[in-house]
Amino acid sequence: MRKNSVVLAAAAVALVQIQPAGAWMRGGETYGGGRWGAEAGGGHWAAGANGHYGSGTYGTTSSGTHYATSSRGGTAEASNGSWSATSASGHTNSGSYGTTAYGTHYATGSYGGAVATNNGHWGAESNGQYAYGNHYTGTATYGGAYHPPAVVNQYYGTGCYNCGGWNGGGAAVAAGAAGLAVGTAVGVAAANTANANAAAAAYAYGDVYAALPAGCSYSTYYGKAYYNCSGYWFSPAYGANGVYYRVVPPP
Amino acid sequence: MTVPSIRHLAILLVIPLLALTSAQAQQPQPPAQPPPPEHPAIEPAALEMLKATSQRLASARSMSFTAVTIYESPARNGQPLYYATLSQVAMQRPDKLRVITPGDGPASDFYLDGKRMIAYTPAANLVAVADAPPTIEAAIKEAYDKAAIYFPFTEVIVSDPYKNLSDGLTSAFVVGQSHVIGDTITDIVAISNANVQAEIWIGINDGLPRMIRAVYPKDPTQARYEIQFSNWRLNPPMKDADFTSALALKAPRMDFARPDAPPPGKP
Repeated sequence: MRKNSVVLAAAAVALVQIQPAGAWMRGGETYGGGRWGAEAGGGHWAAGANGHYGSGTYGTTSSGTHYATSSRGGTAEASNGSWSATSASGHTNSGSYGTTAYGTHYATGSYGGAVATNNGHWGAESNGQYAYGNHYTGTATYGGAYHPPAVVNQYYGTGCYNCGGWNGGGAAVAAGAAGLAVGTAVGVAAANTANANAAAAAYAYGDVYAALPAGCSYSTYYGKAYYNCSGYWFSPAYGANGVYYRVVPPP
Repeated sequence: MTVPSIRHLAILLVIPLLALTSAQAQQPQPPAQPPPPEHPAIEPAALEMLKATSQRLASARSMSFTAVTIYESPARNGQPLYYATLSQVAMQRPDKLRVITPGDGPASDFYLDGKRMIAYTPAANLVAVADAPPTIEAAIKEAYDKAAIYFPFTEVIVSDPYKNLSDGLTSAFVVGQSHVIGDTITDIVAISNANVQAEIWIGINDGLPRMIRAVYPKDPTQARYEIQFSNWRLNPPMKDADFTSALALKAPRMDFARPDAPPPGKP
């Protein structure tokens, strides 16, 4: 059942661009008034963002197969580590899902796409394009007040691994495959186990850190700042109320 | 004279009790009281308090205050950790804002000078600069959209705080008064809408907020957020130079970017 939750959570991530509130009393909607969110309960799910919505049913059959359907005709089901899906327009996809020894929940697609989650972080890849985030459990309309500012993990100086937050170390990041399979209206995605494990090691591309490791050299390329830290490249940016550093390809 | 036995004494004591009980039972019962009128979920008194503090804030052409924000963020083991930041806030309507945050965490300075938003991190000596819309509200939205920058004191600096606080309310009631928050006496108002449950402490003498606590009932982590206000000054004299930093603008540039956005591609 937990695996099914992961698949559904990944589906929601693929469907919904979570946008926390801009002010405390504005939880659950954006400044522009566009509502977002996804909910599931009683065998029904619904999700929406920027005026686009979907809904359907989900559940588990007597044989243990987890399934979800959309009101527009898309279906998806998963059991024993495999999933398959058909979109309303007839496109199909399938793959595997599971949990690695590192605790990373993943799903892979037959077209090579990938999505994985770990410790509240998620990562996805499609056609060489990457998306990352945290709070994959944000499939409810809680409209979280705001992201943990960059102060998280910097609270005690050089960083606190166990503090969680924005620190990407240990977060699952899928990479290396091509073609994210979002084949159905319920948005079943895919993942790559080996890459997710590798990404859990250190300084994975796309990970975010509140502080640089020691021994970095600063340089600029095309007017942008970069840090080379023993061969790993970091790009500084200001966001979530502080500076943070993202692991990027060499400029 | 015979000494009465314990049994006799017990009888003597019980008989009057029985008689009393019987008499009471025979008295006519008062007519049944009608049920109390249904209490409104949104108490007018609570709204009046929100209006009063909102008008006080909205009527200020400029203001400054200290904000201590405390929030929870789960550790990897799920344990909620408390984080706190202190911000010195100054604003001047309609388009200028300064937020100096020395900590906790890396210090940062944020400015709206009427045309640009500037975020400077002294330790890293990096600055992000971008064009800003012509009002504080629009600029705050831009900062959030562009870089997930969020100021938890947004409610008190927007042009219409009451609208921000009251839109979609499902409940509002007066809790009572506190003598221990903000070194003054405060009225406590509890408000909630579909997604947020908040409590506001408002000074009874100056009508200014001293503390807001909020929780999001649908948040799986049930994290709590708190902001404490102090050092309020309304309509202090300010000048344009207060809302920019020549030092910051000389620093090497970085981008504004959301941490949850896809990483940038190669240049």
